[in-house]
Amino acid sequence: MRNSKFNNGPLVSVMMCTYNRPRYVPVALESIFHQTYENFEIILVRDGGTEVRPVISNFLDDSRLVFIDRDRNLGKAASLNEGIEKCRGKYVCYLDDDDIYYPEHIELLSGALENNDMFGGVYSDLYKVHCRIEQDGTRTALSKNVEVCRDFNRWTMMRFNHVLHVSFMHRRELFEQTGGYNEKINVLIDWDMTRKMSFYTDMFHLPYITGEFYAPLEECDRISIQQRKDINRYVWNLLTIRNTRPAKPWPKMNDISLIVIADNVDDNLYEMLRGIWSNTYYPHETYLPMEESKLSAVNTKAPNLTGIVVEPGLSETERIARTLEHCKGDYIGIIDVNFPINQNECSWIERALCPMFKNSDPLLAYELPESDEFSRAYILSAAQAKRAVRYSNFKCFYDNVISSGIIMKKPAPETWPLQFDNFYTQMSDFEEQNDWAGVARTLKYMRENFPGDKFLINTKYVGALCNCGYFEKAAEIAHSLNEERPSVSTLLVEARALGKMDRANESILLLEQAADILEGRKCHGYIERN
Amino acid sequence: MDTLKGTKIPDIGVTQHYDVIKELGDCYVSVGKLEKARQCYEKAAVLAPDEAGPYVGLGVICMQEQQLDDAETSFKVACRLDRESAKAYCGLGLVYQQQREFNQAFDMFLKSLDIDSDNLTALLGLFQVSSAMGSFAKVAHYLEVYLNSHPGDTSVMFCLATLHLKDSRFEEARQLLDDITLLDSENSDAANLLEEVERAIAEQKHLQQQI
Repeated sequence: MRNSKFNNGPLVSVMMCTYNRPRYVPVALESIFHQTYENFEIILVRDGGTEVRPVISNFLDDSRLVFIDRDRNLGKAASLNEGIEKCRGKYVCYLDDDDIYYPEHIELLSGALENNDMFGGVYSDLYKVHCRIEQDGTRTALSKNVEVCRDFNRWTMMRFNHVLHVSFMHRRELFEQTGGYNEKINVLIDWDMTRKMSFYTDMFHLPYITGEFYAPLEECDRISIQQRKDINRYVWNLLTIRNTRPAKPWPKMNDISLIVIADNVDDNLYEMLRGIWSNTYYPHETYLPMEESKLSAVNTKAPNLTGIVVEPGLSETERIARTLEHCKGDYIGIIDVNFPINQNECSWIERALCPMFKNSDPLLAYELPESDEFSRAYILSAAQAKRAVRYSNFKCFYDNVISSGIIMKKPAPETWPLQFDNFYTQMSDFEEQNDWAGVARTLKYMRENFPGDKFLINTKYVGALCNCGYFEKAAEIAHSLNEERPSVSTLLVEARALGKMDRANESILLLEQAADILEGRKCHGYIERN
Repeated sequence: MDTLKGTKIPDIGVTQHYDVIKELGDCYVSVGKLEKARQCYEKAAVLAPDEAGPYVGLGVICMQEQQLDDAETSFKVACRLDRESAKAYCGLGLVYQQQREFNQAFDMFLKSLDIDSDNLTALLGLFQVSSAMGSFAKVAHYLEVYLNSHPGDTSVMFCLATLHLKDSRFEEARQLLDDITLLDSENSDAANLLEEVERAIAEQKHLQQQI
């Protein structure tokens, strides 16, 4: 994975925006200039606010630094787009103005991209550093934890972010497909970008800790924290991102057309449309086949909503047949307006989509578990839907589907998406109750059933084992984790377990290394067992 | 940077750095590297000024260096920071015991056990100062509470057996000592005391027969 072409490898562009945080900009820049990989350029954009030129004067002589010194504040998305225009690198990565890279960050990530053509992006792990700001402005780390450590999962990415932007590097040409950052949103802009990129490419997770991002205990000036104070605006941003459909073709994503069957424009319909917009995270377009007079009362300017004018008096089957002529989706969802969207589940229509995508039987389709004869929601492939139209003996489309020979199943829970996340949430609930046996049980199951994400699962698992008093087992597993990817958490757990087993000298070695990482003397742990 | 709630590791807490340094101090104490331990505890106190743990640790170091006044100061600071610190009260008890202030030591050990009945150091300290004062009120209760949670702890069983002997509760003493010798056949103290108890039982029977 390592890119040995320290000076001759492809150019990497590092994008950094700064606004009213001059204190740590030199620290961030220093961490870039200390990279083992030297062929980079830094595009630093001052997005208005406090001048930073005085604090970065030491760096200005280096031709690798391109400084865009703008007085007007336009927002982070606009600033990143401005920086993109100046990028010349084959690869692009990011650093916030108060975060740092470890010295091998660019080398590791660019090496991964050089050696793996099939990935458009790569991301590593970062320490989240809870810190206290001292009177002189220095930051004292109170903890360093790897909070997010997930292997790439497109379903998860569609629902919410699991790739930290500072940990991310991608091929520059992806900007041409995604169209840059969305300047209409003002929070979660990094997720918007990585989500859009997921339509076109897979991403590779490098489970190495290659940097730090900071979370001061005091009032945090991070955009996401500030913006979350206006919860409505935050939710609006989130849902806007979830409903964003970048330009096609989508090599890595299917398109879904959802057809809502409603006879009237009433509260039920509005509730259904709101429900689809709020709860559907897989990319989709919603179609509403209705008579013109009724359709005119519906605000079809809502995101991804298309009204289809149909003649009055048509049967459900006929309305769907008309709508299918407009649908662009690879899969078709038929949703009765009265269908209850289960708000307690983190997925709804996706529970039928996920098994459908894996299904190779042309005569098998899936309906949601809550479907019954009174209200249905089901997913067909576009081909199956057209097949059912040919068998149009019944007014009810579902009956045509069945009579066409398609078998409709309800998917078992283990086939739903985000299984890992569901179990992780359950584990977190046990953790909050200090039910360590429950935590350990859940994580043991996850270890056995989810082969990926091993650092995430095992780091929590060893902590639970220690809390349950299984010190030998905790020490054994923590030891193997630390041999491969030491972190402060796993060093501490192994040390604690060894301490309980009266192996104080070994414990001391591990705790000293954990302290070295916390106090910045080492960038990442490596085990020295003398 | 916002990430998926369901996959985010819940904040382990901002005490991680403190935990590492404090535990490092504890480890250094256990291997006798007192100066390094002191540095760790002082650093831990800066990281978490409201935590009693570092002051308890500093008190322990001072005790080992026979700096009793400094130990007393450290333990008192710990008590002020955490009124529920069983270890801090226990530490004060040890200081007063060394200073032969047995009444004060007794009070501190009692306070410690009221907070944490499993504190073995406080329990044995209570027994020792009681022996020094010749008064065993309340001690038996705490020994019995401890044994309920830790059956088979022969050191505590022995203490309780000697108390029973002093109170002329010979059968109860014999039962405990029998159990100790079953658990630890090499325990000569228990064997010797058992002989003494059996002599006492024999004498008692003899006296009763005479009466």
